[in-house]
Amino acid sequence: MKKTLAMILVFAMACTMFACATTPATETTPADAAQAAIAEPTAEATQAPVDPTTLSGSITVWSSGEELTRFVEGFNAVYPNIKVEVTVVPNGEFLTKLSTAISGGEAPDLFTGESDYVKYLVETPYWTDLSQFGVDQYKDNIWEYVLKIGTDSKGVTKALSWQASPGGIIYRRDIAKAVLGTDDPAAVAEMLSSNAKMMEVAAKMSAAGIKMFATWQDIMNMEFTNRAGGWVTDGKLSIDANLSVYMDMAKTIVDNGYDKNCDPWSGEWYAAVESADCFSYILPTWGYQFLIKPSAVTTSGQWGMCEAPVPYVKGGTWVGIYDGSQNKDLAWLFLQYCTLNEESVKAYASQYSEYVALKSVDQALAKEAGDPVLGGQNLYEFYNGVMAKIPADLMTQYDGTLNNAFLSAVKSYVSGAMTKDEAIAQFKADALNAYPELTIAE
Amino acid sequence: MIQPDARQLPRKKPRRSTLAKDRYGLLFIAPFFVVFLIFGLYPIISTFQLSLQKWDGMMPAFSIGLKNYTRILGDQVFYLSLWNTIRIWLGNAIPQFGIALLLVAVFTFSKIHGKNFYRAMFYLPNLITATSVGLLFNLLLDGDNSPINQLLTALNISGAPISFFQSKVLTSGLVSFVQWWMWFGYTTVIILAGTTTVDKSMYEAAMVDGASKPQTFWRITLPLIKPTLVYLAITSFIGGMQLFDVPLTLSNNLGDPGKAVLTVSMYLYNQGFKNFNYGYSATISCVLFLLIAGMSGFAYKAMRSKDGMYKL
Repeated sequence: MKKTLAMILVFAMACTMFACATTPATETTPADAAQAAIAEPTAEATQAPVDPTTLSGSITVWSSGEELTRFVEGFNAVYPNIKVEVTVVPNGEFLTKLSTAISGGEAPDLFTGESDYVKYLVETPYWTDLSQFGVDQYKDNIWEYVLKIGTDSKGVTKALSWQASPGGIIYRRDIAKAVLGTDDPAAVAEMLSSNAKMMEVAAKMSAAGIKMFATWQDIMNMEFTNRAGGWVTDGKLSIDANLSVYMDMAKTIVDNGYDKNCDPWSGEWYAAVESADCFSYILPTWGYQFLIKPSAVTTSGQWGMCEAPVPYVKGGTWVGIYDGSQNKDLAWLFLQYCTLNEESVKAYASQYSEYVALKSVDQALAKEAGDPVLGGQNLYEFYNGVMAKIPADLMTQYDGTLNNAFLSAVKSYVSGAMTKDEAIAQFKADALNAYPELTIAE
Repeated sequence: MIQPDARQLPRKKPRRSTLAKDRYGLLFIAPFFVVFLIFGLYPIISTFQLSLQKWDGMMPAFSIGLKNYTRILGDQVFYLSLWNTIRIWLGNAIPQFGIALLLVAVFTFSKIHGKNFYRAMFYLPNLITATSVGLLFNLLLDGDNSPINQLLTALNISGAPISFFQSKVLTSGLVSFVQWWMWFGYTTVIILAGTTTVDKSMYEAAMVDGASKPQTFWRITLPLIKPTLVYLAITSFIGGMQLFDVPLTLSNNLGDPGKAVLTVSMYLYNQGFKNFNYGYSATISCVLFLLIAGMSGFAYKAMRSKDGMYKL
């Protein structure tokens, strides 16, 4: 009992201390903020009235990806007596296992929520309100859409993320030079600044024996941001007019053989990175991190990033603290370390080339050396530019199922199995079948 | 006069030990019933309860009466998935039994060297988990540059590369084929085992009477292994109705293209674990249970009553 009380006291003190350290940073310029961020942990160490080594206990984390495991070592360097046990639970069964764990009273102290269902989780009472730990003071430094997705409809922030996932077009510089005469990202972006222009370039590429895209399905990442609203507003399902335009574009691509006719995450999709005849992938940050960077061996240095016709964000993983956790304070320390601590987030970002949710870190990294795979282009600088243009968050709790249903309908259309109207009708029927409570907006 | 006798009975030692043996018997069969009650009966009852509720898995469930059952009656996707399941099953069960019977006939009437080797080879695909087999075939066939498509292109086959997974007929056929490939060896082995029960003297008698080999097979072997065939037909039907992993890994969880290989089990999985309509998912499960129980009972009765397979 004494120990718990002491821990709470220590924690409360640590909180006020963090508050002092970050409040001035938000008022300064980004560069200064980054400087302050790097200096901050030192300040903590010298001013800290308590030694972080005195904090002890163990916390459990369920994550749908490997990423959170990467923070544990660094966290334990600061808090050697807090044991963090990260369990990676496959995304497909995450919610099922989580709900079982919650009803059985065995829920982990922290758990993640993927973009497909994070909007659902924030509306449940299972993630605790983070304002009790003083999350508000960090908010100015978190990219708005990341914060908004982790915040419920009542304005309570319940989950944070270490990553942000804006996207552009990742293209081959050598092919751009040969076919388009330039590999400059700004010039290439200009040539691809609308769907119609992309099709013109695709025709040029096709004439040169090159496939414009790995697959038309990747373009959907961008088109989902290119909408006036999300799938569902006030219980009404609506299909944005731009998605209809996208369906036609997908059909054009397939009919003219502008892509490699493979599925995302298939062997061929990976292999196309190293092929001589695939020009581009339309993918967000994770596409670069998990596909291009590890696959580009002979093509390393031949890749570039340019803005897509529409700036977009796609995917992401959020993490929050279980409301019934007995170790909320320790869990917060880990959450804070993974998502808000500028030093650890920066170290993580540099090591894994991941674009992160903290503005100051992205801005600091934008000033550092570029990525050799991208021919020296700095991906942080590029993505910072995209983030400045990202529209409002269009994510809904229905996205996981509806995105797949839409993709399936578009597949039927592009393969010629259905007409466009049939495909749209099919999608509506599937949406209502999955969510009978919805109605179709006129 | 009866009473003293009755009172004396329990005191007799042999009687007591008989009673004790009975209790041991119960103890021996108890493990099955305990496991069955916990993992068999309880989930079935609980699934039925759930089918009367609306539950998303996380928030509290609430009762909605028979709404889920009225919904399933008009659910086109359910009927489609039922038809898919039956079609895929027929597509693999008919060739499976056909080939198996052919192999049995060959093995029974011809002296083949290495009979056991072939039998083991045919059985081998059954040892690989269905998920791996589904993925294997997906990797072999998916995409313009898949190994099979490269082979077809190299052989100048017209139409290559073929987009296997964009065609409903090909995808559905592939699932049937994979199921057939996985199970014909098993069926063969079980039927072969059934034929060993046939008394050799019957064949000799038939030979003496001048029956040809096909006649012997149709008139003697087949009727005598009927119990085996009935068993295989029923288990194959139950397995077929629960088909899940092969179509899921071969295609995707939606059973694309155009739900061509969406089976009932996949549909109930999607409703439960993808759309989080656990109540409706439980309803599909209950209806599937009733269908399988009904059909199995019907098949069993129909095949048994004709000429009494146990009266042999």
